[in-house]
Amino acid sequence: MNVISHIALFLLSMSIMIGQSSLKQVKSGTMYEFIGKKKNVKIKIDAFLMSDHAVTNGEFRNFIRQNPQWKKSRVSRLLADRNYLQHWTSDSTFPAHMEHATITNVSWHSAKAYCAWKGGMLPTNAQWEFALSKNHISIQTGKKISINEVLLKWYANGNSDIFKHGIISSDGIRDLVGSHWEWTEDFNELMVNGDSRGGGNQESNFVCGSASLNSNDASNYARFIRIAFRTSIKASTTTKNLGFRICHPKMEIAQ
Amino acid sequence: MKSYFTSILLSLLVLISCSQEHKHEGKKEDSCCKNETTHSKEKSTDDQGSFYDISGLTYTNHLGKAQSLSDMKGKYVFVSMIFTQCKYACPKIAENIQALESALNKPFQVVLISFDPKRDNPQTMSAFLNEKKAGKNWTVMTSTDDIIRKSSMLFDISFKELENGDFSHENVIIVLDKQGREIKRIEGLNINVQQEATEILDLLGKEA
Repeated sequence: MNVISHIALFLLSMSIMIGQSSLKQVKSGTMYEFIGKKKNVKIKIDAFLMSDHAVTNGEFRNFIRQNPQWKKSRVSRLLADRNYLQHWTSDSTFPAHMEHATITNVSWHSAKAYCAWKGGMLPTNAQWEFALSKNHISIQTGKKISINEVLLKWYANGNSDIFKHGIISSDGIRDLVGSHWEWTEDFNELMVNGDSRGGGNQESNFVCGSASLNSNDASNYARFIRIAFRTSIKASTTTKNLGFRICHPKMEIAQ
Repeated sequence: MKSYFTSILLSLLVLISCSQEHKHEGKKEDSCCKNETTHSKEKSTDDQGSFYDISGLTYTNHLGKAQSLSDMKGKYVFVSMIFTQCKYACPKIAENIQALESALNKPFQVVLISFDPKRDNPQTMSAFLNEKKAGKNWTVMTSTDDIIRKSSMLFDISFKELENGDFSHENVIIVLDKQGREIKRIEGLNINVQQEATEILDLLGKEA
């Protein structure tokens, strides 16, 4: 019985744990920088851990119980707008059927506080987009699906058949899109690009024509829509379909 | 062999305690595009919240001292976000605040939060203030990346670190009353100082 075999066993069991718990490893890779002046430059994304599901009402209630400053009756309006947790019937209750449903009506600040409480963080824009760029299959049929195609349907129609049973990525991440939007750590970073010497607005970088010219994938219209949405909200904003999931940038933090 | 068995047993126990089934009942209710944000709802002044009540944000200032937003309680404050290596926009923001100060002729505290903890320290921040001949009522302070991110979200001032270590950022001056409520947000670099000062005095008059 040597030390190495113990370590090997431990690592094996840890990898099984990661496989079983809600945290999945998003394997490293490269992705085109979506908006930028350099064409065809791929950025490297390191492996990270991401929850396979968005945080649920039940999970968020545990957070509220231990962090009462985030109760809707107590939170500062600077950290969450007046619709924060509006679907909850009180500071700590919501309709029972929502227990496992994705928590929405949460602000960036509250999502961030939840993640910090769990020892993690929100995924960055790059991490989130990278996780979405992996191959996805329909959970119902097991068939590969085109995220872009399905997203455009979702954007247009609301409910798309493919999302009734959800989707899962090759990394095991479920329902990144299809039922709700998700907060990202640096969602407001996209607002500015290049040297900003004028006023507060850099939207010309993102609106239609000018954005397409600087984008590495002008056909990825769905991603433009996500950027448009992210730039339209503030960190205190809450909406009835904006949730979040937790992420750990490095493997070792996850234990 | 026995210890192998123990290891496996232990792993199994950990495994069982860690596996959670997350049912996805998934209320797939809304389309993404039917978002309803509620920017339009006017908030009453009492409802808007005080920056001085926000806890958990601590900074180190140009004197090397710890500082937080609650230290400004009871004062009128100009807040902006800058970095001291900034060649163009940030010096202009400082000039604009100085012009507002002299137009207002009221005691204001000036708080500049630096985006740049890698390069900004008490020395560079003090040098920035000296160069601007700023008064004793001025503070430059910085913090961890995480707190700077939170500050930028709180004050709604977007930024992005560039490859060369500089930052692109929105140019914003926020005016807070003595209760820490935002009474005015001045965006851009080419501001009409007289007009802004008149409006600020008007808003402060209402408050008093």
